[in-house]
Amino acid sequence: MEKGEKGMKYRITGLIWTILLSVLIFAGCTSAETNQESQEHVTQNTNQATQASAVVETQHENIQDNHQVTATSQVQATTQQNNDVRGELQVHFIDVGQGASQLLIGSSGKTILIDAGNNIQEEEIVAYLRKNGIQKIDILVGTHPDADHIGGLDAVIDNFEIGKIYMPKVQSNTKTFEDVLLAIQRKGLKVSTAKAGVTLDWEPDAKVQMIAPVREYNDDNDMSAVLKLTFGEISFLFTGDAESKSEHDMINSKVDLKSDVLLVAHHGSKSSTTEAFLDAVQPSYGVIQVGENNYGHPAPEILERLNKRGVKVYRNDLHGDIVFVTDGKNIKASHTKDGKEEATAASRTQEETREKQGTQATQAKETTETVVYKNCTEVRQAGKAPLYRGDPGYSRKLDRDGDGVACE
Amino acid sequence: MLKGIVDRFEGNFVVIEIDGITKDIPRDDVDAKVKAGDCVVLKNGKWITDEMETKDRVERIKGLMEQLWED
Repeated sequence: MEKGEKGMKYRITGLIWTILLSVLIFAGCTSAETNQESQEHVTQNTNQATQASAVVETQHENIQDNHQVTATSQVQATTQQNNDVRGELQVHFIDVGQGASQLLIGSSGKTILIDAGNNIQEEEIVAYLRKNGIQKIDILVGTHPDADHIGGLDAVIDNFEIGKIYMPKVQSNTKTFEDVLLAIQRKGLKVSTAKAGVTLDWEPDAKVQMIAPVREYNDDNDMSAVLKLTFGEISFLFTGDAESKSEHDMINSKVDLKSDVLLVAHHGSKSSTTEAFLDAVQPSYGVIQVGENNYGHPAPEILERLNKRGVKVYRNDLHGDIVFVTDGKNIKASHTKDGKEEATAASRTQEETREKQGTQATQAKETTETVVYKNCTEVRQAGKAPLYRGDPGYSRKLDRDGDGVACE
Repeated sequence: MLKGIVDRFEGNFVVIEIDGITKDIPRDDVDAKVKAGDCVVLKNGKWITDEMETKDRVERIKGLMEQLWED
């Protein structure tokens, strides 16, 4: 009995050890497998990142001052795979000085162009689109008829194949707006009204919704078409010049505003980007489309508001063209200018601008004084040739080739 | 006489399109009654609305829009 009991004890102890050992080995294997898996995952991500960066670099090989990719981050670290998303999507915030223009290129190459800067930059916009291999703009959006947003649309319509056009039904009386309408008419195209509730028919793996204007406003800026783009787990919000009234109505419309990248409305003016709107959007990145201006854009309080929330801000005046590339899960930003070097220059320029404002006002007065030259001989005799667009006495009549320089 | 069309108001400036190019004109140089969309002329150092020309232009652009909008 004693012997048997002892034997039994040994057997039970042996069994326990065996079980323990098996569990340990099994657990060890599993954890090794998991490590391997996660390592593969990391490698895959790195590869994807390298590929994305290669894409961005290729795009910018023709652009001067190309700087390396500066921001890489996994905005949403969820591992859930979105099977609907194929390849990559690009969003370009084109540097058009004090104006706005965004180019969206979907995973199969379909395009959306939102706004096209000022009239005087229209050739730059056309060149930028050509450089990126664009032949067709599938959807063209004029957010609202202000000249710094729609100025270049006529050149885009003239130079590219155009699919659908969206604009809010808001009238402007400028020649700039008339030129856009005439370009649309020449091509036999029609305009669809941009308003909240419209869903754009674009790439099957991307969702593009118009979420404003929610109603009619007296202010053209508040009539801005606002678009939300969702690609996998990543989203962008394009706000035009929407101001606090429109922001308030977007919040009340209960649309999900949460977006990874926010185009800061109205070039960073203090009349937009309310705290409540930022609470709803919760962006990781903010883009300000701004150039040299007299209006105080971007407002220091808006920069501070974004900074306090840890929003990484990119600005066209400091960073040049800004391009985001996303695979629906990760997002990478690249730009053509080094923000750091430019930051000092920009603050210097801002000071100079402030100092100059008085002088500029005087200059503006000067240019408004009537200076009329009958012909180029008269300009040369006055010792004023060549005349540049904006100079006193410059007129289109004297600038026969229309390149902005008269009596060359 | 210098002519223009008011594009928009920005801070202390009125953005006036002259010869197709926008210019920032200090608000002090623009008559207080001037609104966005007005055709304006410079008279004695001040930009004032040209009522007749504005009316014509409003009609012209409105007509174009009616032809082009599909909804």
